[in-house]
Amino acid sequence: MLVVENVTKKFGGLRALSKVNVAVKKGEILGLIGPNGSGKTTLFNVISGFYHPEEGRIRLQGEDITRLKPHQIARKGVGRTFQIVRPFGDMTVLDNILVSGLFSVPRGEAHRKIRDRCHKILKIAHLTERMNVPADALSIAEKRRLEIARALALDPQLLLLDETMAGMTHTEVDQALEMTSRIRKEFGLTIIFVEHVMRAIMAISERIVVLSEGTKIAEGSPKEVSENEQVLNAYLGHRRTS
Amino acid sequence: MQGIRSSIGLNSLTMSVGFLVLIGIIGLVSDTATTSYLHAMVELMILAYSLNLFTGISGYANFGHVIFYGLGAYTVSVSAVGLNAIGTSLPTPVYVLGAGVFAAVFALVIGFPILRLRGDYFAIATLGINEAVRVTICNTKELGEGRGIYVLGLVPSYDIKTLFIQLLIIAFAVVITTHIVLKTKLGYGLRAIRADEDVAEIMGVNTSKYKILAYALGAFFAGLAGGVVTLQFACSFPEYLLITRSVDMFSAIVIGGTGTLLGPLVGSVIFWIVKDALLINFPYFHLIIFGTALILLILFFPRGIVGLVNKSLAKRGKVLE
Repeated sequence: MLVVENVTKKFGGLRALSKVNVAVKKGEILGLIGPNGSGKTTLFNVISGFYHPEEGRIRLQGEDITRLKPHQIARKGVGRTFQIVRPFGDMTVLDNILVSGLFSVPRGEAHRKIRDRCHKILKIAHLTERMNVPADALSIAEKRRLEIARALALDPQLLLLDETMAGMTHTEVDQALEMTSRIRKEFGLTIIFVEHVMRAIMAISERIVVLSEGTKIAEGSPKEVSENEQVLNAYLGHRRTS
Repeated sequence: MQGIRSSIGLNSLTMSVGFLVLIGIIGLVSDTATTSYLHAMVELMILAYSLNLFTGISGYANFGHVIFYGLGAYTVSVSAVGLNAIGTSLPTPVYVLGAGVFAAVFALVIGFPILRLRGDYFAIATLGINEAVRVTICNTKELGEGRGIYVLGLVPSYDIKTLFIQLLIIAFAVVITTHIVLKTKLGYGLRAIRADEDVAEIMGVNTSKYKILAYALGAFFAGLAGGVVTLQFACSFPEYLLITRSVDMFSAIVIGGTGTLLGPLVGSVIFWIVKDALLINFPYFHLIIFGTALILLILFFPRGIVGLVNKSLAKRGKVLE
């Protein structure tokens, strides 16, 4: 589905990503973890075309998308959310979703069909009652759901979720997990998600990739990763040997 | 996008068109002085709508919009003089359309480089290009330098009512165009750009394409208005490119409500009436009073009068379509 090959992204002298390799299979749900500043969001930015890497290639279903513009990548079926929510504040919730709905479809598709799809997504994201409210007026949990809804309206094959559960209460995390599993099944999605809520990662990811200081330090099942020495070091510091 | 929400019955399109018809009727049955007054008001309205198409909806502050009006005016005079030299001329609508097309083409050419800039940088670039073009015209012998180009006898002379009808046709066209833009992908894309350009791009909006499309579309209508002004005075002057006119149109859309269908109309009417009344009553202080009022308006009602109405309607769960 998506293959990230040897990707290096530098900001001045800082190597935000260095020779990172990540592959995700169709239908898979991949967790991406790592300490702050390890390059998780940068990787998302590189995949979605926001940044272009200095080295390496990104292929989506065999096609090289490394040099494409973000809107071209979006139309090829890559949807994403933002860690710090960025709704179109003065537009209504429905209009927010309609933007990606309108722009993802091939020219000439009936507006009624797009609208029906957007309404369906509103329902899944539990935002139907709030659809005529300006997005600025939503609560933070609602804004997070709007982020996901907006990405879904793109009709993506691959969904990049960037900390959609940060700062949520226990119950809200449960709801978000339930929603993630549901959309994945209903839309047949492949998902890569960045998360700090460990309970969420362990619960739904099939495979986990761990980044630290821009390099991949581990990869494997949740169980393998949680027992990996290097991962523990990166998160908790080195064990004292006395 | 009809049928999504509860509308309040009267929609913005009906109101805008109705209001224009009203202005048209008043202008056509009154004396010449009133017609001239309304003629100038409708001209400002067209310019405000054309500015609104790009700047109003996308939020890209543009202080050099008057350049397209000026270039439209010069397109007519230069082509009339040129054609006369080879012993021919064109029907009036062709001159005016040509003015719009030239302005739009010019917008495409300068749009490619300057639309890469964002925010303040874009605003400054528009100012710079505006002045550069104006000064170039003032110093080019073939363009009449500071004196302008006279085309008396080269283009048909019309009385003010005929000119007024021409402006009204353009005004209807720009209102309907704005309506269509707001209801289609172009409008959604531009509104998304206004809210967050990077996110718009991630949501599939080809931001470069939509910005330049709207920029050229706005230039086209400003160019048409410029074409008519050359017919009106049988001359094109460098003064048509003065920045103060850009400020006038900017004020009009800010007062009325940027990015809306009714805003430019409401704003132009209020701007014209208030500015004129202030000028007559306070000849020395009118700009100070007007400026202060404008600042207060922006501070307290950043979305203009239409924005204010929309907000109070939204509280009652209704929306102005």
